[in-house]
Amino acid sequence: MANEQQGAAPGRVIAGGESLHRWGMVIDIDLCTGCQACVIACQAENNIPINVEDYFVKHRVNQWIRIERYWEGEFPNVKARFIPVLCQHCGNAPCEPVCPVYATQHSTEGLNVQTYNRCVGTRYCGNNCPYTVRVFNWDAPQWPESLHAQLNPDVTVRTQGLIEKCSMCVHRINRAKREESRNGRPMADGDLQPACAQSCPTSAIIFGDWKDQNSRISRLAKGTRAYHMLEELGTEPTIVYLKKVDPNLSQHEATVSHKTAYRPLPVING
Amino acid sequence: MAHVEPLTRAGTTHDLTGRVGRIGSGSAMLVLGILALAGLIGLILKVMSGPVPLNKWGYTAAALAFLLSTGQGMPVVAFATRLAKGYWALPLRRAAELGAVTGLVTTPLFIVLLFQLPDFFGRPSIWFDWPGGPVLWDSVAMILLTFTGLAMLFVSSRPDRALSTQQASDWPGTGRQWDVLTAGLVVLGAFYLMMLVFVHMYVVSDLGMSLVLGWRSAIIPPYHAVSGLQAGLATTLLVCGALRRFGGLRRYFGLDVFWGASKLLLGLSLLFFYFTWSELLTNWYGRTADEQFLLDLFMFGPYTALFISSVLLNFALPLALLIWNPIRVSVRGPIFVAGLILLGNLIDRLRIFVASWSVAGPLGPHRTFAPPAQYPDALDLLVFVGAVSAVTFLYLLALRFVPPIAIWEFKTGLLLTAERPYLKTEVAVVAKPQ
Amino acid sequence: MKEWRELSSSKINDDLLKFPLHTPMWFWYALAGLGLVVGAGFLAFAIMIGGGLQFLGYNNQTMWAVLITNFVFWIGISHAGVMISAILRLTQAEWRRPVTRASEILTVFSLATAMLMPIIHSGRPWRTLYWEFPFDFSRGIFMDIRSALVWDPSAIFTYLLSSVMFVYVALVPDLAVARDRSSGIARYLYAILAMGFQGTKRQWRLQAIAGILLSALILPVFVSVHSIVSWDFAMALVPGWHSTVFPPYFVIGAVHSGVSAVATLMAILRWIFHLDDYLTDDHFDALGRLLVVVSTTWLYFFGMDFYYGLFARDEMELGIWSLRLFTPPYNTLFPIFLLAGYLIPVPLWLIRGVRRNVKAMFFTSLLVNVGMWIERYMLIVPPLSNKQAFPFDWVTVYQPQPIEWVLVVFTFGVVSTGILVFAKLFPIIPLFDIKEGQNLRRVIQVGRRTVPGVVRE
Repeated sequence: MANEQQGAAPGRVIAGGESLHRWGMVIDIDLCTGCQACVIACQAENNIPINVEDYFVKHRVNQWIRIERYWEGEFPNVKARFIPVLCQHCGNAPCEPVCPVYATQHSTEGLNVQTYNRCVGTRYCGNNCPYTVRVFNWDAPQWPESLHAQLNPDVTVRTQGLIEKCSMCVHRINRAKREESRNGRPMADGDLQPACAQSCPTSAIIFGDWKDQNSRISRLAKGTRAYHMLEELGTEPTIVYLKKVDPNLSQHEATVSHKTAYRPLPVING
Repeated sequence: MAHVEPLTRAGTTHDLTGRVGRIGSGSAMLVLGILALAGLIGLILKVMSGPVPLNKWGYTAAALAFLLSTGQGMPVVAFATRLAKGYWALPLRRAAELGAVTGLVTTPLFIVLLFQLPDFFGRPSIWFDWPGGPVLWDSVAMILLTFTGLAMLFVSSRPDRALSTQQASDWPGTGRQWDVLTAGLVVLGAFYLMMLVFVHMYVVSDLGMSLVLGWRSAIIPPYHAVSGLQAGLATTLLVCGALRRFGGLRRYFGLDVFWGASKLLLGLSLLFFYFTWSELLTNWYGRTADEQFLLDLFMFGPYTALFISSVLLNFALPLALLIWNPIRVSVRGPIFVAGLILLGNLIDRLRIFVASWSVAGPLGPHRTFAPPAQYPDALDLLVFVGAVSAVTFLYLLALRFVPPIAIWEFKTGLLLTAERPYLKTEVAVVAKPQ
Repeated sequence: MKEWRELSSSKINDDLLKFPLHTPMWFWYALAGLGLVVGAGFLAFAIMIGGGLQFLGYNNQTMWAVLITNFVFWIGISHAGVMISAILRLTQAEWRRPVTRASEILTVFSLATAMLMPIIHSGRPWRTLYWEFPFDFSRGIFMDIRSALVWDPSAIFTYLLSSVMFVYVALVPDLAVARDRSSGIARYLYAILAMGFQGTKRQWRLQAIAGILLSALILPVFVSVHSIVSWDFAMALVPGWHSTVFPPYFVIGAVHSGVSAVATLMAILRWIFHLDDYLTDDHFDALGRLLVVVSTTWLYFFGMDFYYGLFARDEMELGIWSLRLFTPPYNTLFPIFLLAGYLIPVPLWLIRGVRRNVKAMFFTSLLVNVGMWIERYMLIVPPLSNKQAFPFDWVTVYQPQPIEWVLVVFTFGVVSTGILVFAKLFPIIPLFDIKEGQNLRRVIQVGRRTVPGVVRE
C-alpha cells in the first residue's frame, strides 16, 4: 500500500523465489509528453507487426506499450493528459492462475513471462488483465518486403493465434547478464535499458532493479508522488507511476484517490 | 416397501381430537414464560443503554436470524411437500405450520434491531435512498410474513377445529369450502415462501452486509435463505421427534416421515456447502483487498472455529451420516442429524452477524484487518434464551388449540392409499389426483 | 393425471420401433439438409485454422463473445437430460417416463457440440490437446489445475461419459427388443449392443440398480458442470463477471433453458413421429408446471445478480449495468431477453390451456431459449467491452461477424443431426420404461370417483 509518507514499494512477488534482481520501472507521468517514441521503439525492438488503420478501427492494435491520452477540462482550458500503459508485471498477476497450460508465469526476477510455444490461445489471460495490455495475434504477422531486414534476431516472431505482451525486453536483460559474467564486472544502474526507456526523450520511463536500494527507481519510488496503477485490485505491480504535478489543483484534490466507491461518510456516534 | 400403519379414519379422528390441549405440561410452560419475560427485560435493558457501541447488538441479530431460519422456515416444509404431493409428509405438516408462531417473537425483535442500525446515509443499502428504508419496508415485510404464516395455520386448521369443537355449523365442509381451503393453502404457501426469501434477504442485507464495507456477495441472500430452509426442516424433524416420543404420537410418525425428510435434508446440506464454497472460491480467486478482508473476517480470522464447525455441522457430518442407508432409513438417524444442523445453523448465524456488527463502528475507509472476536455478555445470553423460550412457549400454547397432526390431511392420505395385488405380492398404491 | 389409454405391449413395440426399423424418404432429405449446415460450420472452422481468428468480430477487449456464448448455451441445454431423468427418477415423478430418453440424448449431443466451441474458439486449436488432457508428462508439461479452464474439460468429459452410460443402461432392454425384431446386419449390430440381454430376473435387477446408482452419482456432476462453467467467469476479475452468485445462477438458468429445450424437442418428436399416444398433453402440462417453478427460481437469482451489482455502488459495476441497460444495442437486447426468457412464457404457463396445447408449448419454450441465448450474450460481452478502469480502450460495440452466425447455426445443425441419427438407430421413446409405468399403474376407488394410482417403488 502506498501512502503519502512511504511512497510505493514494488509489489510483492507472490510466486517465484529469491534471486539477485527484481526488475521494475518508474514512469513519471509529469514528464511524459505523449510523443509515442516508446511505442515505436518497442515496435521495432520486439518485431511487432505494423499496425494498419484497420487494426485501430477494429480495436486490434498490437502495441506492447500504449500511450493513453485523456482530455481534461472544458474548452478553452483543455489539458491533454498522457499515461504510458504497459504490462505491469504484477507480483500477484491475475493472468497467471487462469492460464490452463502455464503459458504465462512469473520469473524469479519478477517478470511476468509469456511462453509463446505453449500458448493455445484461450485468451482467458487477456480477459482477466485489468490493464488490457495483453494482445492477441488475430492473424499472421506481416511486414512489407523492405522491413524484413529490420527484424530483431534476438526476438522471436510470433505466429497467429497466441497472446503476446511486453516482456520488459527480456532479451536485453539476458544479454546484459551474459556480458556481466563475461566481463566479470557487475552492471551499473542504468547500463541496462529496455527499448522504451532508451528512446524516451524526456526520460519519463526509468528502468532499474528494486533489489538495489540505491538504484534510481528505488529512490524515486520513495517520493510522495509514487503510486501503483489500480492498486485496490491487489495485483502488486512492479511498475510504479509518479503522479502528475498540477499546480492548479487544490491540496485536497491532489490527495483524493481517483476511486471513491462510496459517498463521503458521515461521522457516526460522535 | 413403505407401509402405512393400519389406522382407521374414525379412530384417527377420535384419537387426535382427544389429544388437543393435552400436550405440554403446565409447569414447563410456566418456566418458559418466565424465561421469555426475563428475555424481554434483557432486551429492554439493552435498548435503554443506548445505541453505542454497535457491536453489542451482534448476538441479538444472530438470535433473530436463528429464529427466522428455524421457526419461520418450518411452514415452507408444509407448503413444499403439499406442492410436490409428497405423501410421506402428511403427518408433519401441522407441526411445520405451527412454526409460524415464531413470527410473533421475531417481528418485534426485528423492529427493535432496525432502530439500532446506524444512519444509512453514506453506506450501501439495498434500499438505496428510498424513503422509509430500511425500517419501514423491512418491518412491513416481516409483519406480512408473520401474518401469512398465521393465516396459513388458521386456514389449514379450520376443518380440524370444526371437528374438535364439535361445532360443525360454522364450517360444514361443503365442496366449495374444501376447494377454497386447498386453493388458499397453495396461494398462501407460495406467498409465504416468497416473503420468507425476501425477509431473509432483508435481514442479512440490512443487519449484516450493509455494515461491512466491501461486502457485496450476491450469493449471501440465497445462502441465508437456503440454510434457513435447511434449519427449518431440521427443526420440523426435531419437533416431530419430540411429539413422537413425548406426545404419544408414535403410530402417526412412521418411518416414512423421517426417511422422506432425510433425503431432503441431505439435499439441503449439499446446497449449504455449494453456496458456501461458491462464496469462498470467488473471494479467494478475486484476491482484492476487500475480498481478503472478508475472508479474514468471516472465515479465517477471529471466527475460524465458528466457520469450520458450521461447515462440519451443516454439511460434512450430515453428509457422512445420511449417506448410509441404515442411518437415513431410520427414525433416530435423521433426528440426530437435524440436531446437528440446528446447532450448525446457530453457529453460522453467530459467525455472520456477530462479525458484521463488530466492524460496524464509526465507518471509515475500507478496513484491512478484522477486529478481535466478540464474546456474549449476560444480557446477550438472556435475550437469546428468552427469545427461544418465548417461541417454544407460543408453540406449546398453539398446541392447546389445534391438533398436532392435521386430521383432515392425514385422513386424505388414508383415503388415497390402498393395498392392491401386484404380481405375487400386495403393495401400497398411492393415488395422485389432479 | 387424466385418463390414459391402456396400450398393449406389442402396440408399443410396433409404434416405437417403426422409425428405427423402416426408413421413410424424408429422413434422407433431412439428413442432407442438416449435413449442409454442419458442413458449412466445419468449413468456417477450416477457414479460421488457416487464417487466424481475424474473421471473427473479436478485438483485444472483447476476447470472448459469440462462440463462448454458444458454449455456455449448449452446456445449459445439456442440463435437461439429468434434470428430467435423474432428479425426476429419484423423486419418482411418473410423467418422466416417455421423456427421459430424448432428453438424455439431447444432453449427450449438446455436450459434444458445446465441447467443440472452445476448441474452435482457441487461437491454435491443433494444440489444445495438452490443455484438455494431462498427457505430456515426458516434456514436463502439465495443465495448471488452478485454472477454471482446466476444471471445465474435466467436468464436461465426466458428464459426457456418465450421460452416455446413463443412456446406454436405459437402452439395453430396448436394444434387445430391436434385436429380436430386426434381421441381417442390423440384427447382428443390435445383438452386440444388447450384450445378451434376455430379460432374466437378474438382468432386470442389475439394470435397475445401475440406473438408480447412476442417477444419484450423476447429480453432483450435473451441478458441478455448470458451476464450473460459471467459474470461468466468476474467477476472473472482470467487473460483472466476478460474482459469487454465478454458480447457482448458471445452474438454474441451465435447467430453465434445458427443460424448455426438452419441451421443444417433445413437440417436434410428437409431430414428426405421430407419438400422440405417448407424449400426451399431460406430459406438456407437467413440463409446464416444472418450468414455472424453475424459471421463477432463475428470476430470483437473476435479481440477486442485478440488485447486488448495484448494491455496492461500485463505479465499474454500475458502468457495466448502464451499458447493459442503456447503451445500444444492449438496450434493445435486454428487454428482449427479459420478455422472452421470463415475462412472456411464464405467465402463459400459468394457464392450464396453454400448458396442454402442444403448439403453444412449442413456441413458448422456443422463446425461452432465444431469451436464454441472449442472456448468456449479455453476461459475457458487455462486461468485457468496459472491463478496464480507464476509458481509453473501451469498446462499446462489438459486432458479430457472418462467420460467427454460421457457427451459431452450425451448433443447432450438429445437435439436430445427432438426435435424428440416434432416433433412426434406436427407439427415442424408451419401450421398457413405458411398459414399466403401465405395470405400476393401478386404480383406486375413492368414494364415487376412480383415481389413477401408482405403486410405490
